[in-house]
Amino acid sequence: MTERPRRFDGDGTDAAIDRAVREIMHRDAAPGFRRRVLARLEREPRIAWTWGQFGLIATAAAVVLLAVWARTPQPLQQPVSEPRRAELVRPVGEPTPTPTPPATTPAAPSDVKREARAVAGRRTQTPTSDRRVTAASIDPAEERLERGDANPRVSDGRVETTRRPSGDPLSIPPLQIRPLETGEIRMKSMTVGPLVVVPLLPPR
Amino acid sequence: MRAAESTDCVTGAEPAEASDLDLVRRAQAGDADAFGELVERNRRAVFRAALAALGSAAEADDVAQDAFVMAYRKITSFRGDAAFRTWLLAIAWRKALDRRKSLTRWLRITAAPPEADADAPNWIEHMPADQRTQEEDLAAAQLQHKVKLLIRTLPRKLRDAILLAGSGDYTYEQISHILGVPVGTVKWRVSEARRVLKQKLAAVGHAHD
Repeated sequence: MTERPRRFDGDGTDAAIDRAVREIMHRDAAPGFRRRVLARLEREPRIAWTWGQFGLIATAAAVVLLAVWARTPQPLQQPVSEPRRAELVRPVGEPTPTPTPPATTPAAPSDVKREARAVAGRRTQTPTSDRRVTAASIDPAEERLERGDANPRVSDGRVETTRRPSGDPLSIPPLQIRPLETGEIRMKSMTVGPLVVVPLLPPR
Repeated sequence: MRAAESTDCVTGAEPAEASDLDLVRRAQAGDADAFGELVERNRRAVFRAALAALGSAAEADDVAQDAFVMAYRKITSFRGDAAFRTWLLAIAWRKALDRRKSLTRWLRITAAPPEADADAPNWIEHMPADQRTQEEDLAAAQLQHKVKLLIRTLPRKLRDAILLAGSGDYTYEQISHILGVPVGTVKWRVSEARRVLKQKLAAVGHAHD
């Protein structure tokens, strides 16, 4: 089973091929090969990696990554739909005010724009959580009533509904508007005091 | 000539394989000297396998070192199913192929001129001149030079096979193990390489047979 490749040593092409191959191959490593290999072995100590060690390290790395991921604060999820605004219940018969379109004013100078932006910024400083709580505080039954879904009950010729006063009164913080003045428009300072909307009683 | 070849051959005889196994056991137990002895015994075979794949003595030296370092690191996984040299040659061959495929090597070869044969033994001095005239020697030298150039142009599979087989350092079984193909395939590749070389030589006007 230890058959060796045949050699051609006579004249001719086969002999030329054999000689050429031997000439290419009969070279040796540079002197001191053994010493260089052993020096490398001393420099680079043997680390026999086994699958068990590899699995252990991989598991440890996965646990660390999971721990880091769990401790990283997750961004708040955006609500699917915008939170409902609290609706004011108006007495029956009162006309619903139609929203007036914003007046088209000429472009204000930059300092006026800056001032307006500052005022708007102060308004938006109100924590959004307050608004969310207000919207969330609406009782589903109450919501149906406001939409007109509640079934009124007739008792002794009087119409009774299940409408109850809502919980806390709606309060609006005071608002301070600083004077604004442009070439054409002049607005004095204005103070709006605290406003409290008392919950409405059901109509009789 | 046969006797000369057998002494020139670096493949260990059968008893040496058993000794290799003893050395491997000692190396597995942490005996660095035993591994050093294994390096000494197998360095030429490992170096020449890398040389066949790479064609450069400097690179073959590097790869042979890498192969021994890797063999030392993995020696605990050697169970003795095959001969140590066969196992070692497979490692060296994989290392050499990795080097051959590496992009950095390709860039270096592309950028630099081919390695000079200055340190190769001068084959003209070793040619038996007793039965040859000067003209014959010159013609043989030209033919051999052409063959060397043509060997470089062979497809890799054929070139690997003919270089490994023609070196005289390995048995067909060892070459089969190194290349990962059956012995019959190795023999066919060697034969095919010879045929292609002869065909190319005939094309340039060197047909002797």
